[in-house]
Amino acid sequence: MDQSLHFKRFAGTRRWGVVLAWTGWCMSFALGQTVPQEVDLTELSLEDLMGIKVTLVSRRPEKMSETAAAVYVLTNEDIRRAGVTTIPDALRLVPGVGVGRIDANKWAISSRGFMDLFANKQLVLIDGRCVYSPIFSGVFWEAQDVYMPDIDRIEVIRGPGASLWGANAVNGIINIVTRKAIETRGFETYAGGGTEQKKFGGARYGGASRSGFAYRIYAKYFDCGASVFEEGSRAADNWDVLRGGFRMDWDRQTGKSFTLQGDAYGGQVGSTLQIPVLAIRGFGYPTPISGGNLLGRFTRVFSPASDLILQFYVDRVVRKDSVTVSGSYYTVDFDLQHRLRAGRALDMVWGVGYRHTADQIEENKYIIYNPWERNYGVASAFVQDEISFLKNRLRLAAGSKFEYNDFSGFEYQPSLRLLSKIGKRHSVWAAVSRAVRTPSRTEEDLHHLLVEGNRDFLSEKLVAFEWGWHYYATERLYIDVAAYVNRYHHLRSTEPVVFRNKLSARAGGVEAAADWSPRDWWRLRLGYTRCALNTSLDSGSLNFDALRMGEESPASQFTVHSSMELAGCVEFDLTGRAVGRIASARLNRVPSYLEIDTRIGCSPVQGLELSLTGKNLLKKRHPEFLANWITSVPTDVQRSLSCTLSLTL
Amino acid sequence: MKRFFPFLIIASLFFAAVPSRAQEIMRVSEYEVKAAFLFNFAKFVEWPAGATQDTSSCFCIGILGNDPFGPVLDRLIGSKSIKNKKILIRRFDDPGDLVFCHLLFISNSERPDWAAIQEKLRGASTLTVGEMEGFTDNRGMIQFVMIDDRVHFLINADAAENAGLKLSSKLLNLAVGVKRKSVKGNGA
Repeated sequence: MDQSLHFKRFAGTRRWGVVLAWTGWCMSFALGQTVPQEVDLTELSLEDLMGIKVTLVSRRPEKMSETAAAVYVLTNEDIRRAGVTTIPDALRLVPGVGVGRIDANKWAISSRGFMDLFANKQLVLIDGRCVYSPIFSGVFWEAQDVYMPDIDRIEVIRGPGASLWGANAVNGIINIVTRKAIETRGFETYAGGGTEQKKFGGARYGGASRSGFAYRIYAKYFDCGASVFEEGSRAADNWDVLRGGFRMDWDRQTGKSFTLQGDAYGGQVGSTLQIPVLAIRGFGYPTPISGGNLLGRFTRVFSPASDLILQFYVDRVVRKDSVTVSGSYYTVDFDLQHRLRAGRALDMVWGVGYRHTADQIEENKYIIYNPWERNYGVASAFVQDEISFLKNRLRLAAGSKFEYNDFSGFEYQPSLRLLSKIGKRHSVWAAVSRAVRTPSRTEEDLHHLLVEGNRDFLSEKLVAFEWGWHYYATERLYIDVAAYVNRYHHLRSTEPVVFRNKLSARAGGVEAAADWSPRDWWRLRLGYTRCALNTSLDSGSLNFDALRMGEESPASQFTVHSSMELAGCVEFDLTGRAVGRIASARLNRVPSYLEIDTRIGCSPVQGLELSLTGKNLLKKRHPEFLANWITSVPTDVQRSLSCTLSLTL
Repeated sequence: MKRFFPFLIIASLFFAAVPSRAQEIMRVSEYEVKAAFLFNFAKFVEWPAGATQDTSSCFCIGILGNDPFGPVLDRLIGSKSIKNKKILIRRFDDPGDLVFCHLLFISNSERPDWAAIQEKLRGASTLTVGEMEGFTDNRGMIQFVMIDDRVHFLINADAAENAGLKLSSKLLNLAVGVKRKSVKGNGA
């Protein structure tokens, strides 16, 4: 017995030895190559110049340094280089965003604290479509996906953005934007397999006509195997989804453009029932999920000073959960936005919108919603103006969103932001804003043994004070620092058998990020986040568990991401994450952890790429997050390896 | 782990077999390429003889508003010549500061002042280049557009002709879109 253990350990070391040796061998080839010669671009013809694929890196910090908010943009290249296959894994690359994996298909994702399975203060949009669930106030990450190589960028704003984006943009906004169809012409396919995602693959085809019409269609599939429980037994958190979609753009460069896009998906996610109170593990069961959406967007540029966007979508979400909440809903959304600029005093954006949701929630043994089907809507309007003074050195943006929703009635969400440029390289900003998180269907209508919904449930409110500093030190170094003090009130408390709003909280924190390219072939990104959250109960509350809410998200987090471009077309990426410990009111805790992810990619011939990705390499397995609400038993994150082959024609 | 060995072997062969694609991974930033475009545009445009308000013997390239090029522009084309004239790069914070330039790049930061800029440029033979949406629809002459991470451009031929500039047919052919009299301009 002892001997076999010893042997196993030895075998493990040898495996890693092989991988290391391989890495070293590849790198020795790579480093042996000469660095490409500098070409004088002015000697090239227009045709040649038009053929050069450019890196948009330099644009990003510039854009960010113009913004009076804590913004981070993850590009297509960043995502590809990290070798990530899911959106939650991509979000791990964003400084200031906490990502905790609960099991193979469930995540707790939020910026500035309040991480949970249904992190309800983080708004998420995919191509302008809100994927925040009105049933739970949160995002079912297992149902959110796109064809990853077609992502243009993921913009993450930390802090409230409700004055423009509306309710629930309380702690942050994640905005996933896919490429225009004209940029995804040709055939592309990838396939791979690994120890965690057993098999995955996808293909996309895109084309364009001379008349300004471009299209693409895609399909993808993955099968993510089950992981293990804390003590090592196999869990039931398998996850597989088949997804397909299209996008069509009409753009004749005449100032008018139209986009029509849609996706449909179907799959299965596995969970393990956690029996409440007793914290006993129940049975594992699969939940079929499916859905689809169709979105149309018309953009009219009247002049450089005036443009209009009209957007319409329908979204369908179906979830057949046999144990917890099973149901479906339709969302219909209409939005109009107009931007008008005139001189330095007026850079105005205004818009109106209406969103309607019709849901049906099935009754089961444990949970009843009363009524079981309900229609509700949100009507909204917003206006924001930005004024610049002193030759653009000082900019003031003021605006507010006004909403009327069927749950909590009228809500106003103003913000005031001031940005000042100091010299060519620095800008500092400050902001004060108010944002609300509106009640969900569950908080209003749930009937459950342990907790009841409350028709008088109010919106959760936040007043946030933020400060920041963007420092564009050199062409190669960009530093971004933000600090905040958040005051929450009317937060949800779970009183004996009913939801109320008897919780207040104060949060404070700092976030720092640096983007440094010491060499043309080497880019380093660092991120540090610290957040302290203190909750207090309002008079009459008995929700003592909530006093420990501050410990339920990691207080600090540090990430380093190194991206190397080695000659011989080898890419080598290494990410290190150090995440603080968390504890929940149920006496479970997750110790702090340090992990490393890596990817080695090579492209031996144009259009062909082979990559090897390793995730969580330091430990065989460890827990990352605990679920707090209607829960599934958490599982451990395991060390994993995967290999991907992709082909572009 | 075992199932990865075939992958590793195949992967390793790639490294060994095709090691010399180094030249192809030339990484160039967007504004380096755009700077080279500015230089190239000047080659394919004819300015009216004697019509320039420019008394010096330099070819003036102006940047109006927030400069997205930074030191790249000076490094790439600062010491070069166009039409036997030495290039002079000038930067303007405000449309009020403008003096004559052969070629003027108008930064996106100047969107709100577009009307004032046009007023200022009236009658001058300045080739205007921009990258804001709708630039060529509103009497801007050349507009950069990014397609698939590559730099392309649109042309408003009417606006250039009105300013007395002659664009070569080669330039017009390479543009992804050309605006001509068939589409009614703003009557400038």
